[in-house]
Amino acid sequence: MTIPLLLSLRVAALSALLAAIGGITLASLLAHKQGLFWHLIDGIINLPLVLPPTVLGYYLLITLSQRSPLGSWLGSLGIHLTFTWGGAVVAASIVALPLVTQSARAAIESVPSELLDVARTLGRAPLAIFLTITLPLAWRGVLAGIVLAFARALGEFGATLMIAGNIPGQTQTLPIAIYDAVQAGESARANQLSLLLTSAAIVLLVSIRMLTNRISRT
Amino acid sequence: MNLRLSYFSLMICIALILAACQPAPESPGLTVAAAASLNNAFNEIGSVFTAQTGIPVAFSYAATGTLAEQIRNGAPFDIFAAADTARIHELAMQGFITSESQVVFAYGEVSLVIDPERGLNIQSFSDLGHIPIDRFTIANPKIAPYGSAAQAILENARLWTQLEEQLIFGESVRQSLQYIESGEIPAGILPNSLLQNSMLTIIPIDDTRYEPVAHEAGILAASPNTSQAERFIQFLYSPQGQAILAQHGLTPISTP
Amino acid sequence: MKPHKLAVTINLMIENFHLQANFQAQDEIIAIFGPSGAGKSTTLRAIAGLITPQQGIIRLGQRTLFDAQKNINLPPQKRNLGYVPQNYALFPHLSIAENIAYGLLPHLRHARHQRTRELLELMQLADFAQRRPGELSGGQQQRVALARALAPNPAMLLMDEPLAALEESLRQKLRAELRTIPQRFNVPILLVTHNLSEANSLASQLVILDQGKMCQAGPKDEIMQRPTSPATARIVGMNNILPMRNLDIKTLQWGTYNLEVIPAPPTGQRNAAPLVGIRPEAIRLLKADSGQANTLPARILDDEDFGPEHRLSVRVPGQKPDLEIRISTPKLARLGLQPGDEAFIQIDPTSIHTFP
Repeated sequence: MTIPLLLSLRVAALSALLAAIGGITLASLLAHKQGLFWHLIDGIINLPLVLPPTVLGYYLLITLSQRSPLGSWLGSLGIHLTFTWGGAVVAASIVALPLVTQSARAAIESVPSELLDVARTLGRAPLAIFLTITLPLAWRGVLAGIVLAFARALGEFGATLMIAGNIPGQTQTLPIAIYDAVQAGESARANQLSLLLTSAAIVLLVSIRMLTNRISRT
Repeated sequence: MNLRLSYFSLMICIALILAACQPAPESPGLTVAAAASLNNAFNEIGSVFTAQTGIPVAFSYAATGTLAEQIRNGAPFDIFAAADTARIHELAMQGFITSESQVVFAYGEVSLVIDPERGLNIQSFSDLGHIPIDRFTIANPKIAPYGSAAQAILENARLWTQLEEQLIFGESVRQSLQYIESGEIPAGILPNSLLQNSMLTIIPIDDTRYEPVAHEAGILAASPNTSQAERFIQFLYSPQGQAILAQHGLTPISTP
Repeated sequence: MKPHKLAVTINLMIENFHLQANFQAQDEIIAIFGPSGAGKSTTLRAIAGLITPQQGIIRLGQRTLFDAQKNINLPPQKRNLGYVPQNYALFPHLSIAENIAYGLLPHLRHARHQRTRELLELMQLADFAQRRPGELSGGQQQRVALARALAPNPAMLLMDEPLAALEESLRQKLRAELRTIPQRFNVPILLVTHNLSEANSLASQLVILDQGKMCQAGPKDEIMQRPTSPATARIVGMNNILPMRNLDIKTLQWGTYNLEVIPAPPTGQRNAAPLVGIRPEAIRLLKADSGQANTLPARILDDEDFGPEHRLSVRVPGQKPDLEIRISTPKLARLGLQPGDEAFIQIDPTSIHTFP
């Protein structure tokens, strides 16, 4: 029971980290942007929220498989992403990415623009302004997005099953272990694992609520 | 408040990084892709094999067709134990499985399974056409060999067209069994290898109605553990291995 | 040292607002003045580099900050202008010292520390160095915003409505403080205000904007006394605009009354039926006819009390429009006049401005 939990924590943590890096970058690019091009980028980032996991899993499988150009190139570098825990990280990162991006974008857009205007007239470079003004002031929303991404990555199932399979100890994350236990008729194990995952999700959601409540109070 | 929040953020970041930096999961020994019908038998085979050899084994159970496709996409298994011979041969032709390692290690039979709590008055397979059943489950014939065996039985008995609208496909035989055990579906056709300790009503199906399902195994060409994989396959057709398979309702190869 | 000359010619469209501003100014304190919606803040932001005009040129001294035709558009970072927005926009998560140090090069630690200390002292903020902006009063916040903008030694200080966010009691004190900034820090100020008395008390040069259009720019007295159009006249408080007829070289005729004008309008500007503007404070209220030039009978229609002064509306019999008069409260009390009373007015011959 602890092996799928540890694996899930590791996959979710790495996914949340990757989604955080990508999501904060994208959010800072997208903030205050209008126009068809940016709407399109925004739409593509948000696709995992609406696409069925099977479609996402299928896309990942055909792009990362050893038979694809990208997959074979990665393979030549010694990186195998299909049916490895790395594949689970890729799937969970992509699914978690829009959650960080949306939350971080809202937080970044809520930073008053006069502060950024003043910082610009004071001669500081855009990246310095982002790191010293925008991010410190948007931090709560960004963090809430990362925690949400972690929770979502912890619960990722469909695309992960397709890209990483169900290999105990290697790709069998908590949700997949639950699926396996149900399929094998091991209801006691399924119950335990489900309870574990539900408790983790509740703890994470409560911490997000605490974070976002602070935002609205300040 | 700000201070508490930054501690909180810092803790989250440290936790994330620590969790992410754990060593990557290593292959625990052998990884065996096994047909879902072998779930119970292989769990026992695995623990006996590990106890004797010290080699840990992890099993990934799914429908034979699902596993074959995963292997084509580069899944890092050492052994593929299918409920089929055609797919193993195809994978060998494509170079995913070493041809010299292929071996049939058991045959499997199927039974008609009835949920006793539904009060269906079915005593034998031939009653199936006369008693109305609202739903009936078999594994998806496209990916599960036991599913296609069940389809062949129903077609030969001229029940396929009659039952077609009631059919619910499981993703594998394990899921079909779960449908019946959870009370969702009253009846189905399932492999005997999953039914040994079952509380369900089991009605044998005359083996003249179908070809028993051959279980064939092979070692993956990409496996880095070929010698250990060979030991596992040897164990499968050793007398001890065959005995365990037989206990779980499979037909050993030594007693054709 | 004479401040740099600011030369602005811009043409800018944002959403449905079209701004055309064109002025040159060179003084210690310049005010852009106009009613709300005139485009004052937009002009300031364009000079700061925070909005890019579609066309035009912005120059400060020898430096070209923006030239659409030559494709020059310095980013705000490179313009070396201090910017103080209306609500000061202090960084709420940084201490006062960190706010002031923000525009100073981070790698020159010693110089940065020194300059921050210096400004904390000069702005009497030393006791608050480690506080957050939220803990400070409005006046203190303004001093922090000023110190932050002044720290990198800007070529010009841009201030958007510097006193609007403050209580009335603080304004006078801070006006006096603001007036000393150009001398103390050797930096000219360009400020935006919608308050005429503020523009008057702070600036020596005015730029008048209205509805995105440039009205007039020049020395304060010139604009207050001799606006170039009736529209500008109304904006700067020259509220009596009267149609006249030319009688002779120094006499105008307002209906049946003759008014003497000193000095006579330049001959080039003479036309038969000019419009003239008279500031409300240039009309005296009298109880009896003093026999002086330009004394007319009038009836008081309305009296509005502004505390230290009153604004009266009076009607000269048979004439249109009614006139507005400003008179100090003690003076009005001495006269003892109130609405409905018959009285006299006398118009200062030197304060009758004929529009060109």
